[in-house]
Amino acid sequence: MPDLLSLTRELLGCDVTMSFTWSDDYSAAGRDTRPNSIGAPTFALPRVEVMRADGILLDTVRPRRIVSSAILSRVSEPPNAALVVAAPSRPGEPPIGGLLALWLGENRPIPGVERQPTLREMIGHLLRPTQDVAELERTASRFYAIMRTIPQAIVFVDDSTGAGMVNRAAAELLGTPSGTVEATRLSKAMYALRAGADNAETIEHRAHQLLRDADFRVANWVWAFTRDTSRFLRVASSPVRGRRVSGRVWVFDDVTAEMVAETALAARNLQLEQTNAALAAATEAAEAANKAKSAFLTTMSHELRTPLNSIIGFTNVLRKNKNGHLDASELKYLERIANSGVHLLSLINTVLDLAKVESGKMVADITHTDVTALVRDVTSQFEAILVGRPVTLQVDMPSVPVHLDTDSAKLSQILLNLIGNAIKFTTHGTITVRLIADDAGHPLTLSVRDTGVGIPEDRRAAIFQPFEQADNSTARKFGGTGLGLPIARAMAELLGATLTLESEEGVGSCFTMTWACQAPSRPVMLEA
Amino acid sequence: MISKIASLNATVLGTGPKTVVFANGLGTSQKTWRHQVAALQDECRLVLFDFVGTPDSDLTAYRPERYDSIYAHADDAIALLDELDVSDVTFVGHSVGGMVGVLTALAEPDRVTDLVLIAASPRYLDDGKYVGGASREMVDAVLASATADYHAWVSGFSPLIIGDGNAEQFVQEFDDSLKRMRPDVASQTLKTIFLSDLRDVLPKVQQHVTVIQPRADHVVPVAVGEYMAAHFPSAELQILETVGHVPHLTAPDQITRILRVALGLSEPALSAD
Repeated sequence: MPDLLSLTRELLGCDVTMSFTWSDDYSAAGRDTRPNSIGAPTFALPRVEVMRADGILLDTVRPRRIVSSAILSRVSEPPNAALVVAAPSRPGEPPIGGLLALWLGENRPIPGVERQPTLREMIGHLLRPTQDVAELERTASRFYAIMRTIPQAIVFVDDSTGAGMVNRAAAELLGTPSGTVEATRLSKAMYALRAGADNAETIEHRAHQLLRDADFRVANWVWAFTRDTSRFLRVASSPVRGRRVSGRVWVFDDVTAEMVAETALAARNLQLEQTNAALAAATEAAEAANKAKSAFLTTMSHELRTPLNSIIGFTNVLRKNKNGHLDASELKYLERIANSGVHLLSLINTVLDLAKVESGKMVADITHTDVTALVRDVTSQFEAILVGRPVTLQVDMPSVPVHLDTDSAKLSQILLNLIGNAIKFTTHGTITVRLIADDAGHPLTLSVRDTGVGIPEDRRAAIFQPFEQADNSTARKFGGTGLGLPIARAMAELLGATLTLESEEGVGSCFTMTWACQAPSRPVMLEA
Repeated sequence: MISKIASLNATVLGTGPKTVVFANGLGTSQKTWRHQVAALQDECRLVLFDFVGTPDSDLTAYRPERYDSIYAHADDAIALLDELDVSDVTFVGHSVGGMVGVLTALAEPDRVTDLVLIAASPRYLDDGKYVGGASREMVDAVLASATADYHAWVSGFSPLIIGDGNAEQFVQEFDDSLKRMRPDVASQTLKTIFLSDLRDVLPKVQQHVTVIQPRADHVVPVAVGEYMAAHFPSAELQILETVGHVPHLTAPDQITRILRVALGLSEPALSAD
């Protein structure tokens, strides 16, 4: 390609020619990279508007007005003529650049030089590659910036020469300098990298496939290096096709951290799965054991009750002594058998209740119940027991009847249990049964307060557990199975109430059944 | 095209056969020349201006890609002289304004007849045998701190520029003036100045140059004044027994006396020592 700047200089008979592109209204970037040139400064072109009027300005009077101080400080002699020609551009658009010509010292332009018919055409030629070069430079600088910055190792291998371009990360990986690396060195380094991998044979095989087939591309190819270090590379390779380039790009991404994390995650997942399985098995076993226990209790309670009923029934028949054969002591023995039988039956019934609660088989038999009558009924059952004991049983209730849809048998059982307990643990003092109702006559709380021994704080939760009592010595001292309270609480919950305990050792205990404030599902009638 | 008189905030005052153009150094303004203006305005035409990018200039004309070289400021000064159509100019430049004067004188030999440089330097970095007074590390550190916290940096820089023993009011004036600059512009200008190298231009200057060099200047050592005086084809060196980089503010009478001599005005000459 002929040097257009030199050609222009000969054509115009001037000393300096420079092409330039404007960066703004005042500033232009000079392009003159020939040897012995005056450099490629950024300079100002004052009075560009004069030139823009017709695209050409020749100043032979004060050429310094056109030429910037940057150029003036670089030329050997002061200019006595300057010519600026704007580059042809599409109609209506401002020129993007042009040509600057200077005549120095004694040299002067021939008259009418600015009207050279070929001038504009030449400028057009001159500027276009200049534009291309500028664009190329921009692209190249962006490209190098990316290559420098990107953490992946990138290698371009040229098909024709075998030489390649290696970025900084790739240079570190391959142990070569970065930048252009000659063919032999690059291929040796690439081979050494492949040979170091765990799956070197497979990799080698595939690499040869890549080299034979120019269009072959691969991504997500993991090379493991775990012999000496623990390192994993994710490799991609694809052909590069351009007008003047034919080759292949290799991208190596260090995914060690990712792989290590993945492995750790997999191990952790496995561990979690195992733990979960063990937990599930344990839960299943516990549930099975509980079911078995409930089934056993239910079955055994039935099995025990049937013969026991016969024992109690026939004992009672015998006690009637219809034939008069039995003497007083024999009758006393029968009474003991009967009492023991009744006691045993009661115990078995309790166990059966608990089994029902635990197996979820207990159902409430709801009827419209007068709670005040129920309380009176239950408390009256204790009057006989308390005769002669320094314990009084007080009942504190609203004067009007309080009604509730509930299972009256179960409510009675709860109250019996609570009052029974209170009497059992109270040697002297008062047991108060209190029913509190709201304005509409719905019961809010039913409580049983005693002045007995009280329950230590650390046992207050435990006594609601089956077979637990406040003190292990309790059973010896007071008797009982430790089943009453768990059953009472379960029944209270079945009836839509809670059973709670307040207690102070030596002062007494208070068990309270509390119904939720919401209106019951069925309207409760207040008896007039 | 935008008028340079407007964009450079140019002031023209006084009358006389000769024109004196004052060019500021970084961080000073037209006001810094007030003593010289008062002393000379009855006998000369005086032109003052602010460089594009400084607070009193047209900041909309500032573009970092253009003003990354002293040449761009020189082109503005040349265009201003052209617009004012002045001749018989004595160009008085302080610091970087001095180097703008050098480039202007080179480009406009028909307009500029004399050059007076006050604490100017063609290159701040040491280079082989050349003593510029600063190392690359030092300049990098200055630029880093000016970029990191401009106002904090100015607070430390101002006393250094004005110099020990000068009145606190001068430090305050310089400090205020420098802090008025846009930090990004100031940082770029600092970088442009500190990294400039215009030594190869000096031998091309045909005008007579008076090089005024303070004895104790934190930024420009005496060696630089000596270098310039030795490399201009026609120059005389005036070493002032003063402290600081801004003698026209801190020792105004001495500067005025030298200017009168350079302008050929009647005043007993100051002995050059």
